[in-house]
Amino acid sequence: MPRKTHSYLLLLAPIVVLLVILPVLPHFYVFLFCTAYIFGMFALSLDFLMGYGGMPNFGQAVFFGLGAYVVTMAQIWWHVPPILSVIFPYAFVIPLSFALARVSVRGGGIYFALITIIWGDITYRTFFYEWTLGGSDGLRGATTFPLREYYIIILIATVVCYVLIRKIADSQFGMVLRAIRENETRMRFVGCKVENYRMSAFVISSCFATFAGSLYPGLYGGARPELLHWALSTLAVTMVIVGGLGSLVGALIGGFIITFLIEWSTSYLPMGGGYTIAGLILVATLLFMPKGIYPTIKRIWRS
Amino acid sequence: MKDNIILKTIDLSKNFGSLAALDNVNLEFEYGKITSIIGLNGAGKTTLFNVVTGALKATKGKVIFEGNEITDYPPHKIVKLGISRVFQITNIFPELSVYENVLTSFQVSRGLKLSSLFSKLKEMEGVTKILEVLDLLDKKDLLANQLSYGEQRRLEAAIALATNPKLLLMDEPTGGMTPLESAQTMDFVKKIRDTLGLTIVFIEHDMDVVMRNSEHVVVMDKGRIICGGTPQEVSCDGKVREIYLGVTE
Repeated sequence: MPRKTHSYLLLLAPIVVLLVILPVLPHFYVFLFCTAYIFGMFALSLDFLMGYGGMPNFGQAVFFGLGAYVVTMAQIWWHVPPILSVIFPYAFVIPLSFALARVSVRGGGIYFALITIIWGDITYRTFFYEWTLGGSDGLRGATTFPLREYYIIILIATVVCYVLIRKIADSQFGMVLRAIRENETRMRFVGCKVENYRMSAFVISSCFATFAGSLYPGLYGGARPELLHWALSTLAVTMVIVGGLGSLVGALIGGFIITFLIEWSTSYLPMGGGYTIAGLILVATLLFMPKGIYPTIKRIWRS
Repeated sequence: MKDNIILKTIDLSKNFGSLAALDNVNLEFEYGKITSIIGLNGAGKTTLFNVVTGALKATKGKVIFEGNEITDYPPHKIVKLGISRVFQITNIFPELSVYENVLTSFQVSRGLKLSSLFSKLKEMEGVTKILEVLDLLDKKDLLANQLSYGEQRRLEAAIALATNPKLLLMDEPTGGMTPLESAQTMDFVKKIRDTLGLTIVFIEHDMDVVMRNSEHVVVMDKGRIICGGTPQEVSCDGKVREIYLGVTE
């Protein structure tokens, strides 16, 4: 079976199952699935950048958080209808991601990672201490949707997100990104201006992260500064590595596993314990399935 | 300037601190010829390639390609003008297929449009032709890291050729090869020149390979050009025999 068909089926099978059981799922689980889809999409955006572009962005949460904040702002400050409000974040995110990409992608490797942590932290602190943006409480008052209907919307959004990212990753542009990740020097010596491709990948990835973030207020009713924090970016990195770097389906799987585990751990562990669990899962994955869950399952299945 | 000169360096120098890796190098390479550059380790051969291809900035002097100065241009611009390079250490995309290795180079060097974001990978005649010339067509679906060392060297040459160069710089194309593999590789080099009409400059340590395959030889020592000419002329030069071959008159 072709690789693409295989991964589409793997994505579709659980979706069909989840749609079938939706009417009987308790309210809490529907909510949890919605959260998992949103964070799965967020992880997907990062997997494109990390897995294909070789850029570990520890500031990816900035775009996720801005998606959530700007949608909330558009609704409560500018009285934009909820459906239209999801368009607004891109007016901020596209220029910002271009600017950040220009300063970040030149360094590459560890420098890129460090720069992204720094601007992630600056953004978080700005929102945390700025009272007009709700300060440490964040912004509340965005419209929330009826849960089961919203579940279907998020599910469709996740599928669309996956298909688009998969298409870009399998395109000529995606091949160039993989080649840059494999051997940057060689790419420069075949006439490639590496920075331009990296910047494009960065902006594309940040738009998808923003899209995931823009769905958050419809579920939680607002945005909070923690959504911009580099700790959330680190969590997304964990999701991607646990699921399988560069596999895209793996990012969704990782997003689901980590979201569920964190939610589960809040009942049994003190605050922040979820991050410890995520860290332990990451260590276990690196020890026993270094390529991640999805590629390992795929390999076992094929053999 | 003579019309048949494709690349020329004028007083080209490159210093690393107090060390002069290139010291007022004046060279001319003719269209369509196979030229080899020889010299002991540290003679400045690879540095010369690095400065010409934009990997290093020149401390002084000029690089003229087809009559235009290209000194200190970035590598991607130099490639688009028509200079391509094969590295000393094999430089390929190990996790891409053989076909994708060459296709990437083919497409990037010609410029990708915005539509490439959603366009699928497709077969290209030019890529197939290059793989055929380098005898890699039957391995096009293998991952590059599954090829033998000799095949990987040929693949790197294919990547370089896919940029549609006029001048191909090869840094020790037969390094680490058995005599048989060396002979095969040099046959490919000649085939490339004859089929595609390129100018080829290669760095080589193996004197047998140099003497058999070059039409012109340049000898470097401590960053300077000490001699240049046909293989016969160079092999008879007393200075070369003394410095490079260790023979005193």
